[in-house]
Amino acid sequence: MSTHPQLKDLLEQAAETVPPAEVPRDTWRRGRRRHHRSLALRAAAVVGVVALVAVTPGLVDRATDRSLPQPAGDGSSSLGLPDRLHEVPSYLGSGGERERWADDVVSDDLATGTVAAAWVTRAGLPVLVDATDGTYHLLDLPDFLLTSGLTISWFPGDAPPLALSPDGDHLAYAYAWPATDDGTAVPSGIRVVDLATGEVTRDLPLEGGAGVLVTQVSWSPAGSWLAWSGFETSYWTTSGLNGSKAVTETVAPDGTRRRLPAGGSTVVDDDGTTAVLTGGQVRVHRPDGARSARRPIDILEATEAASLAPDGSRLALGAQEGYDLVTVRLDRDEVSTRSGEGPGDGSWSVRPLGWVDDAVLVQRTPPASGDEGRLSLVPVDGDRPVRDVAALDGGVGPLSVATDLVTEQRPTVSRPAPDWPWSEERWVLTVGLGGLGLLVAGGLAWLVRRRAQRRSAR
Amino acid sequence: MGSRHERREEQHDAFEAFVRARTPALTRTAYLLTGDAHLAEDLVQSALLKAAEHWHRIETSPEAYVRRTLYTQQVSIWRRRRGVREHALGSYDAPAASSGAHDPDLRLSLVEALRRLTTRQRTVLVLRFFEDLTEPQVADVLGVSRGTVKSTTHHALARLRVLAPDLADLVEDPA
Repeated sequence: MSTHPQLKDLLEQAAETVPPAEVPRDTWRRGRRRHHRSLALRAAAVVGVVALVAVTPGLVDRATDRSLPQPAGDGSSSLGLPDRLHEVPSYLGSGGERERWADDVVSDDLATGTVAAAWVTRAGLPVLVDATDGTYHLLDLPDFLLTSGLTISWFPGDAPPLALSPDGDHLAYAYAWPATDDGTAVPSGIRVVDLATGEVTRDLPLEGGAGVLVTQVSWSPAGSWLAWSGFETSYWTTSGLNGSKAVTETVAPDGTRRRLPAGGSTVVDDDGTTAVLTGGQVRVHRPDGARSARRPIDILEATEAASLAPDGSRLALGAQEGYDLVTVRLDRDEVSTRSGEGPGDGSWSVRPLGWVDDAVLVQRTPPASGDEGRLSLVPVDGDRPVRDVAALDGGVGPLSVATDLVTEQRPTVSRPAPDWPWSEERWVLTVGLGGLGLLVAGGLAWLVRRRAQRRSAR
Repeated sequence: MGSRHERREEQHDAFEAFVRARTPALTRTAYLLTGDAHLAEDLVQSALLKAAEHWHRIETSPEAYVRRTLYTQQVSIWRRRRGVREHALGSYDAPAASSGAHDPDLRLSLVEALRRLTTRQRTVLVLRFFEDLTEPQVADVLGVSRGTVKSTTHHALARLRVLAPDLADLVEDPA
């Protein structure tokens, strides 16, 4: 029903004066010809794209000499932490078995050079990101603890038994070799690899129970000491294990080892002062053997992830729900907190990874719901704001960062995204579509030729 | 092979039947949209050519497709003119010739007045009051906001009242 019936009547009357348009008799033919032309164009475009996709890998492979370093994004060849860490596709080392990793992308050459970041994939595959050019090294670490699917389940994803030294030149990792079921103790311990030479420079076999399962390793701020926490197992076979007694230890530069009352995680400074987190408190052990001091935390949201400031005065703790900073002083009972806002509505947590200096912390905020996480620089004193400096893909596992490569002036560097090899499915699809494209192209050429022959026959 | 040929013939026949039956009505809409019989013919021919091209998709409801094509082609004409600001000239806004209140005269006056509207105003008026589209439907077809449709309608009716005073009673603004 028109809102202006009289106006509509007038418009209709006015329009009736015009004679019907002449429609050319060949309109249908021209329309259909246009249709066929557009179909042919579309087919040609598809063939072109498919052909391009099919030949691109070959061209790229020819153009890329993999013996040369990958170019840095900003042209810089100096060491640095990439401003984005990419997850490793699940088809690379997805099974976790050794044979699965006997792939040309997984290497047992540990001479990677200086490394900026390291983590372990969900399948237990160690990933090291080159500090020079951002190359991703997927390593087959000898006897790495998490190579066994059995032990992966012990690591819910917060701290890997693998740690980069602050300068990125060494990697400490836990190893174990549960090869028999006859009740003999499992050889286990911690190894330190010199990433310049690929050689194991320190082997710290651990004894106790049926073998020692290391759950956390950390370096002192200058990289001279090591500390670890874990369990002595009551049994450990190829099909199961059981932790019986928590253990903690520090290792001095000269190799002197000191067992301490156990805790969830342990950190040590460069003079040997050790902080052990356990049950809502920090126990501080001095190197001279003096009586340990107990510092209550009293923050329910604090976790046992911890990182010690370079001067050894403060300990940054991980936190959940509502805090973006929790620090504890080791010389007196003083806990500082700062509230933060999480990304989105999901639950969130922060985890300290190390310190840039005595006043700035490198902290990770994991993804709230499988999305992107971030690395931030958190000024510990004053009101300076938190600075997000790097993005982390959702699949980047528990992380260790070479904090000496991070500065306030240049926290991260731009690096090219990794050029992962294609999955089998992608190869099959590309080759299949390429073949199909060639068939279609051949068919079209045959049709065109046939039509031309018919025309010339007429 | 035979059945494909028959199908093509059927489609061709259906298209020709549609053209014969609906060209007069389509021309009327095109005429009101363009204000010119020759432009209307061009518009209809071009819309029917597009219909033939896409007939396999639209054969169940070709009219809706062709009408929408008429509107959108008219919109693209006005969009092409967007760089050139459309405005009423003083002499252009002089009342259109009219000699009484009988329909033939009013009709002439209306056609003349429509011709003096901007393309955008004419399009909106035709869609609203001849094609009986609602404001949201006009906004959707023309790719503008509902508010723009409302204000353009308001301005177009006001201008019609100036250009054709005899029509003033017939083009009262509903707003």
